[in-house]
Amino acid sequence: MTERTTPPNPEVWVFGDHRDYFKNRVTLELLAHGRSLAEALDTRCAVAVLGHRIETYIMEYIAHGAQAVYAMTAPHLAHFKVTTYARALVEMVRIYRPSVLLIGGTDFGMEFAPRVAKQLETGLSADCVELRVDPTNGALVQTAPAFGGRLLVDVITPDRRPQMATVRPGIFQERPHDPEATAPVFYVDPVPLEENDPLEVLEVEPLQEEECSLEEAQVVVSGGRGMGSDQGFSLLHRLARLLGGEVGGTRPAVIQGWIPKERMIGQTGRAVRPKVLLTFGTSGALQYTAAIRRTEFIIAVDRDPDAPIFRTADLGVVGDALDILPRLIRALEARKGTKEVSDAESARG
Amino acid sequence: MPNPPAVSAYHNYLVEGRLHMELLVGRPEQPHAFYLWLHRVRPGDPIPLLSGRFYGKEGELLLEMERNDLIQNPYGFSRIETRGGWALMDTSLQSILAVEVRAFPNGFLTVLRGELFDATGKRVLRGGDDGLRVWRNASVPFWSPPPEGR
Repeated sequence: MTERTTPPNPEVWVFGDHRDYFKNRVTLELLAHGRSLAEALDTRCAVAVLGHRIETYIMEYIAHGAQAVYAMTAPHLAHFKVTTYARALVEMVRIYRPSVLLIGGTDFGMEFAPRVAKQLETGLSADCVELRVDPTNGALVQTAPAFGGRLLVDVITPDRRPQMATVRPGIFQERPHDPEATAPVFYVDPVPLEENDPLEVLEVEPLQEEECSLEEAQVVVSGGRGMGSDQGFSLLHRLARLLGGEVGGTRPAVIQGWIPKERMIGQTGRAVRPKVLLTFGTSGALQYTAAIRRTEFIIAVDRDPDAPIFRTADLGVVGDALDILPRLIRALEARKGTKEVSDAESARG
Repeated sequence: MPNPPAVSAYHNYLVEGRLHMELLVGRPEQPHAFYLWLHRVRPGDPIPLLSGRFYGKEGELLLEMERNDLIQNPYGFSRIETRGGWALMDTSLQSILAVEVRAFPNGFLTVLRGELFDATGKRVLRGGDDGLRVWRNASVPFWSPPPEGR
């Protein structure tokens, strides 16, 4: 089918956060979910992208599901500057009036999205873990944590448009790259450079962070307050090495300094989707379980038989993680040692 | 509202700072008229794919090419491979048109450089860093296909 005109219904938009592209996948994840929302609303999912020399990103977004692109390009948009970007996106929204606007819950997005929402005088739900369309009225139902993460609530924006939400990386799954995809690109006249802008970006230097691939890991070993100390966490690191996995932790573990914040699993940290997650001493607070729900198989160890984590886990072990972990590590090391001896003997013939 | 021209996820041409997956400038159906056709490139095709009938400043026919093959070539132009693309060069190695293919992890972008004239010797196109620019005084049709709505 040839699509010659824009759809009759207001579109679903995703903001194209292309900083650190190829590693930062949140825009692609939102595009994938935006496509399903757009289908439910009988419209299309578009990406709004700002910057300078952004041809690569436009093409990548089309390959990953954008059915239209709204692009504003100018040299003064080369850096992600929150004031200029907010002004630019607001201008685009006012022209094209999308129904939904989704923004990645990155450090930039968390500062950027509220500014955009305020200028558009609309609502914003932060850190949503689910977005769906209410079939009775076409409203976007935004499921987000509330009351310090103890509850998940459904939020709707009945009157104001666009309906805005931020979503952390890792919550949704991106579509595969489709090199045959095509889409129209609307080039929007750039907003002018502000005069007397108090904020000037002189240079951008990437933050040197510890290499951490929690989101891509097939095996994740995670710990919470029940690990008791950083020595407890060293057991998790040993187990992860044996299993070829990555180590993560809950917010209390981060607050205690047992694990760096880059490895925090939760609604305000990272969302993981490994094949196997082994979680030790984590009670199972909502903000944690929401970020592990896409795991294929969860094994939980906790002392409290009534801990909510056991409602999420596929396999639960009631016991002290600090008793069970050393035994598990010894068993795995013994098996590995036996295998290494066996492999060496096979190699010797 | 009509849709703007389609852009491909795989390969595009940079024209006036914008992406185009396919573009026709001029009149290929008229035997003595300028045209440049930037064809859509799909995975597996050579990159880029060009057809055109090009003239010199005096309005003389320089060459005609069809999907990268020279089919009329009275002045003995050659297609010479260059770093990142190829160029159409005359016997004194002067280029009239050069294509540069920029590759990135999942796709390609073609930028054309050079000056092209119509059969009256008027400048029609000029290519540089921002891609090809259509000379506004040139009265040539400019066509780009609508998106396919995948």
